[in-house]
Amino acid sequence: MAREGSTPVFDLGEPVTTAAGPAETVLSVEDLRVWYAGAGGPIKAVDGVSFSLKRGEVLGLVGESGCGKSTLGRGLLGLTPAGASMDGHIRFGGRDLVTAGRKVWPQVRGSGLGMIFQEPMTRLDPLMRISDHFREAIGSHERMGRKAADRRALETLRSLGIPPSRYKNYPHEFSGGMRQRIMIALALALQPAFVVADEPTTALDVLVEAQIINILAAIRTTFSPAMLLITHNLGIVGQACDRVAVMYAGRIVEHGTVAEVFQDPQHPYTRELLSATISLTTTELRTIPGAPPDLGDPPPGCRFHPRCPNAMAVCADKSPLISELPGGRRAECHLLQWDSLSAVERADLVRERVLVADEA
Amino acid sequence: MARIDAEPIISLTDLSVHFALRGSALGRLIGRSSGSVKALDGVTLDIQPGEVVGLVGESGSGKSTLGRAVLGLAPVTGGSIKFRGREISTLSESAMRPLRAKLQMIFQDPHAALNPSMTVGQAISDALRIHGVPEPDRPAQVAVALHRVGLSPVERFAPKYPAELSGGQKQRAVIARALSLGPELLVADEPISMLDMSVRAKILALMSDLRDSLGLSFIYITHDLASARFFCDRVAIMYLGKIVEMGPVKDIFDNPRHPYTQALLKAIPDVSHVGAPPAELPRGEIPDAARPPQGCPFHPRCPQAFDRCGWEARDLKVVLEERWTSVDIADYERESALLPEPDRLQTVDGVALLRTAKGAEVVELLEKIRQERPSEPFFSGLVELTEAPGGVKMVFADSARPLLLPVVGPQASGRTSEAREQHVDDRAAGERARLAAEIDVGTASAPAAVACHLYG
Repeated sequence: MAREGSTPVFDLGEPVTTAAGPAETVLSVEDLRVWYAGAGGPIKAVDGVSFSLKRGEVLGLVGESGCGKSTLGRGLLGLTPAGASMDGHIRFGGRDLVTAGRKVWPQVRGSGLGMIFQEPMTRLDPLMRISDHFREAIGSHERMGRKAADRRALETLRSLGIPPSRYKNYPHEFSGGMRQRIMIALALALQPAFVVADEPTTALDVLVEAQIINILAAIRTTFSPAMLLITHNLGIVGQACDRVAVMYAGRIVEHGTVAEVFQDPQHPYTRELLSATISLTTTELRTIPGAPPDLGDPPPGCRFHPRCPNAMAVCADKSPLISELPGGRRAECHLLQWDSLSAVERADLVRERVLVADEA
Repeated sequence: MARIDAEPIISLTDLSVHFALRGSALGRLIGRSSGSVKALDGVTLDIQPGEVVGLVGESGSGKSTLGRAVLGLAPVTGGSIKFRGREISTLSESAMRPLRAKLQMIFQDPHAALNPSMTVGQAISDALRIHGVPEPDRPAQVAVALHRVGLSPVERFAPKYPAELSGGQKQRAVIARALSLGPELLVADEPISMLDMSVRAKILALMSDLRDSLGLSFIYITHDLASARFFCDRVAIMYLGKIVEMGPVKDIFDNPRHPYTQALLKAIPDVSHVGAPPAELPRGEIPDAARPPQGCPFHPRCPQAFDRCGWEARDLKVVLEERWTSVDIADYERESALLPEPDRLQTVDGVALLRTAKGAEVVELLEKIRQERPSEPFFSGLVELTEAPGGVKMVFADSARPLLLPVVGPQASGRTSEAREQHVDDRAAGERARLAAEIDVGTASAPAAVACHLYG
């Protein structure tokens, strides 16, 4: 793997992933579905999601709790619980991971697909030195001597701001921010081509969070994995992502570059989510009425229609089609198909008022 | 809005909460003190009726301890807390209990704050029972409280168990329980930080409405500056048990003075600002409160620190660790062998002796680092670096803890402040001046105040 923008102190050895050009697609997801068994039928946590990621590209995945963000992230690594079923395509490294069977996952995890967890304290073993964590992680995925593994680990840690003098320390000897750096280093030491980072800064203070976001920005040019960054914080998406996918009730309802989506959101849910975010420029509080639907029994038609300020008669009736907009943008909303709607379909939707307390 | 002229609801004067550390058995036998953690160290603050005061800071800054101390939930070791002019920090538990109806708390995690085996109605009515409301009156008061927070129709929500409610609904129930007792002050400890983004605005709107319609005062504890800006009248920025900057919201956000406040404001990921986060951020994290830094507690992280901010030998560790993430591994091995464990170094009266057999090499190395990184603030405080018998002698510039003093002019005009001069000259007189000055800045009518050597 070429490491543009940095001068490696050591030769890191032959990269594990196949050499990829700067614009090569690393991961391509098509019509992915992840369903859980529920008491009253299947729970469609991810229901027809498609996107692709290039090397070094970071896609932010946002949405309220219970919209399927984490299930999508885990599904991409084959980490769904037993009893869940997965359908569609995940194309990675010349294979389709969905159809290749369960045995393929351990082969591609680690060196191919990595994960950065939240809450680093619970993910690091308190009885193991940091050095042991790295030896175990590298040793279980790659044939490499202990010396070489140590070299790889130290170099990765140093690039994330952990000095070699701390290599033999235990997790409790580090601060929260340092532990999160170690978690990131553990994933990157195996040089994966694709990484899922699930809320990597939630438990951290503002200044430490900013340090971690800077690190995530820096690894785009040093390790350059394709990354799916799951977060509920739209501000972090603005700082660390190239593109953003807005998820609602199991589907990606809008997808585009961060600047475009934030400046000119096309889907009412994106618009509402942005205006409900409390920022330094907030002078009036805006809220989205109601809560995300039960994924076992989503509303008919557009799943957002019961909460949508722009809902029309057609929204309760038919699912919206994906509209392809200029610049590779996509959104799923009947308003974008306005010209093809009849006058009856365009009429305002008559709904019951949502109670103040019926909320997430 | 706050009534400035009224008597404050809560008046804190030089309030301290120190937790003693458990030392070894031998240490206790020979009478050695094992030190203490100063969770809250000399805080002075008034809260007026109807006023919302925000306490903002990172974990470990003492903001939650302050909130808990006001409710009598943290052991006060110094200073005073007055509720409507009456001293409450020395009250016994039984004398405190009736006052608790007037001082209520909203917790961060609504799920943990509600008993899972009580319905929402039972939880509120239990609080009323404890405070002596006769049974026949309770259902009506429960209904009023639930209705007040938007959990209506009441018949639908009162019989629900916490597990049947969403996060926002549970937080509304917690607020209803606090309201049912007719409080005058609510201490809200991160009330929205565990809720979903779309629900935060709803709970914040509810609290704003309670402030406006019931005239409630709030102590709003948060690390989220954006919500503090929206909700508070005044904000106190806390760091390691002390208030480092305080003032009206507009003042703090439009013209932050303390480098810590400036950094916090710069670091917030904000949707209105797409682009990389600032590269120039304070390094490291909030230090161990059991071993606070000398001088200004923020100096080891401060990008603007200079000679008298409190430099000492253990600050060398940060400099070395930063260096060791970038130098060649062979250089690291050679240098780390020369300088074992810099954080154990003791600095007494500004002088530290680094014991080593290779004194000349250590001096040479440190001089080399100083040459390579002229902007490193550590070296501004290191006034002498010489080889001495048995090691290396380091002498640091005189330092003092910066005082929380009113801001006189736009910047750096407080240098003539009498309190500052006295503090440097005479510690006892300085201490009196410090108390007098800091008491003045705690009141609502006082101008913005900052504790930083850049301003005097």
